[in-house]
Amino acid sequence: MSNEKERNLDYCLKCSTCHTQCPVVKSHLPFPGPKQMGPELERLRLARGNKETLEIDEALNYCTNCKRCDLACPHGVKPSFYNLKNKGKLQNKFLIRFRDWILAHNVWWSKMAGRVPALANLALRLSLTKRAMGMVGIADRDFPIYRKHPIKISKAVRDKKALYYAGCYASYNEPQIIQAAVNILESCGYQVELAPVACCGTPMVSNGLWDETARLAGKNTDIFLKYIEQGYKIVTTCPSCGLALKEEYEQIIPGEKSKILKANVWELFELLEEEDNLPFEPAEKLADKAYYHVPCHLKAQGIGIPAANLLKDLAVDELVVDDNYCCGISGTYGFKKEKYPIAMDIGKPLFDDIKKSRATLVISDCGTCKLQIVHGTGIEVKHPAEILARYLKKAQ
Amino acid sequence: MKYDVVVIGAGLAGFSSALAAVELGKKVIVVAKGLGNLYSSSGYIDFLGYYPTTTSWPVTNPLQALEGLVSENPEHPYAKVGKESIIRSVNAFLKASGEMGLSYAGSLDSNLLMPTAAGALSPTSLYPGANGKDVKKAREMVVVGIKELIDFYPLIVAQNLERQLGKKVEALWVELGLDLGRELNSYDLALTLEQEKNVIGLINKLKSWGVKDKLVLIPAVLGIKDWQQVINRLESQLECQVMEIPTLPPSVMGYRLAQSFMHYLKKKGVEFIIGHPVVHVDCRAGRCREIAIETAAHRLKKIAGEAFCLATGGILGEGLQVFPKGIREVVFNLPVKTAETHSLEDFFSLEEQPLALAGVMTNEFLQPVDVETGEAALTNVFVAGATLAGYDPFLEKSGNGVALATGYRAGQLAAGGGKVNE
Repeated sequence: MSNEKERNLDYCLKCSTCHTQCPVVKSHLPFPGPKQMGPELERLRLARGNKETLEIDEALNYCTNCKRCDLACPHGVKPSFYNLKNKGKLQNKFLIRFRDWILAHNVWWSKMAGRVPALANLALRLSLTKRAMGMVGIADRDFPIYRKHPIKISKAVRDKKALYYAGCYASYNEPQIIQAAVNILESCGYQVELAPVACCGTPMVSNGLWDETARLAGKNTDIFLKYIEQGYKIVTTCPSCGLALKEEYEQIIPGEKSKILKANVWELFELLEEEDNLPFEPAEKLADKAYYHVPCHLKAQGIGIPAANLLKDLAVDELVVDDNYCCGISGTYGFKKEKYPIAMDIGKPLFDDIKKSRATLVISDCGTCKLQIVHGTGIEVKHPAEILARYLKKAQ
Repeated sequence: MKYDVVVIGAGLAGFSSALAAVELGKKVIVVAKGLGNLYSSSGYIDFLGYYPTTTSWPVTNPLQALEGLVSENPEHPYAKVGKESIIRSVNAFLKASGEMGLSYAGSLDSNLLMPTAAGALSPTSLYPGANGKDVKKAREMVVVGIKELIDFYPLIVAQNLERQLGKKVEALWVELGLDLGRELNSYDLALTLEQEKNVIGLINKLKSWGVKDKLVLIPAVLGIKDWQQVINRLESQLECQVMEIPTLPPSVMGYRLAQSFMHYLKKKGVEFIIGHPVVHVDCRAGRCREIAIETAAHRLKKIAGEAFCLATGGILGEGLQVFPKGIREVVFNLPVKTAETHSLEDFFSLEEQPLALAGVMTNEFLQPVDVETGEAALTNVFVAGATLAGYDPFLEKSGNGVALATGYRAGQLAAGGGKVNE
């Protein structure tokens, strides 16, 4: 561990403010919380030579990596870093490891399913499949639907270049988000290329595969850097992919490369804030009242909610913006049988707030937040890019 | 993105600034490095507990004492904002606290002695939902400890209260039978008391002890949201009075205030970016044009404003950083007034520690000034709370009061371009 991180530990006063912001503690009290699992026990681990794991470390399986503890700390400590790192040292039981490994490699199954979406969607709904999944510890809940959709991209060469990194969810489940992002970027004058990168590694590192994530992150970083050298900006629309490139890669593979990468990654609407003239025009509003659920990993990027003002101006009469709640799904977490009830309990205040708002449309940037909100409320959820692409000026 | 008022800091002073500015219809954003120390606080709002600070008798009427303080000590933040402004902040807070469902009680006319987790008595003016309950007036008192809760010892509390109040105070332990496989802090316990069966469990345990007609002092763990209902139920079913005692961090009473206040401001349209420090400021010709926070990508996110409220806290809040050769104000690098020696030889001396008085000097408009010349260094920056010089919150017991009063004033000044329409 670097000295910088060790010093970071010393800023922890044990005030437990992070503990009060942990969604897991609130819904699953046996979880000791970010302060104890993070800085407090890390001191003990370091004192013991940082070799063995502690018995209590098993509780790290319950951390969702939502990052709310990091944002809460009044003194700049990041408990999530210690939790992620130490999760990678856990020796779980075989069946758990097997199940977590399957979920961590979601990208492989998505690639296969993406080739034959109709068949995959059918198979995922069969009771036999559900039984088999149940046996390995996967929750009985709806899986995202696989969709295939050719993307139209202009071949025109322009000075402004964007490498759009869609991530797994948009690539395999909602390709219309990709098309929307491409259209918005092109209207802003960018030459767009799709990143030849599949998974960012977030599902892997969340499931304790630290070393494998480090290898993947290294590989991905090299690809991104080639484009950055040619003047491309890396643009994301998935908050977790974005945060991985901006923050987690630097923790997992510290060094010059991850530093250059992070400085060149932009969330789509963060990038649009830099534009002088935006390519939107008013059209019929999409909803009277919409509810914007800010995903934890968008909040953690520290860029505010750049799409909110555009949505307010163009698409809806009244926008309820919420960043108080975590939806609970946390990527693959809510797909685990023993964690499913926790994930639903974490999301309940959000579901209730959405229903109470009487909004007819929910807006959220995160694919798995969407799955969870639809599951919890039955209300339609759309990505802001998908909505705002409808307001692009015609005749360009 | 441009805002009318940019508040830096998410403690009571920052929230109070945001409240004042949003009440005046301004577009407001709060940015902070993290959540403020309000989460660790008692939730009591003490305006002036001891004045002069050398006396060991608590102030009974803070408003009256404030008048003396304002005339005798012109460098004190209370003197800068003035009595009328302090009263306005109290009224605004009481109104807002009611709307956020916290219903604080009390007034500036009197201090109530409120018990702490060590059994000390803290003179305070505003307190949550304890109207009509007073340890001085209560005839019979019992301090309840909960076996599962760490850091709260009813015998110590009772003994200390007995000594100060000169009357018998009982102490008892109850065990709720919670087995969660780990020790529980007050926040954890408050979560368990959101569950019906645990509230019933607590009531039954207390029934067997006979607390009828007594004032029951219990650590503040009676729920994080519905605590008032839990108190009401305890009172009606046990025919007693119930008063919560703030605990060590994580303090649920501080949590309730911080969380409710932030949600309330969000509902009023105030934006928040928490967890990312201000690392850059653009100041020219005595005005700040914009600040920038460090995003996850380590790029700067610029936030422009007409006016700024600086409420980053003191040394604990890290608004002021202490170095061997001096003290630095972290955001604007404003001049800081310090003493020659920082601390007295005897660290636990009950006399004023010079370090406590250090901070940013301002004029009556809360604009930071040059320590030597007294000229305003920045005219659209208004300083509030523990960043300010000239008072000792620890001896005076005035920390939250100064935060509230100067925060509110700073918010009004920022919204009014340096003026307040009275």
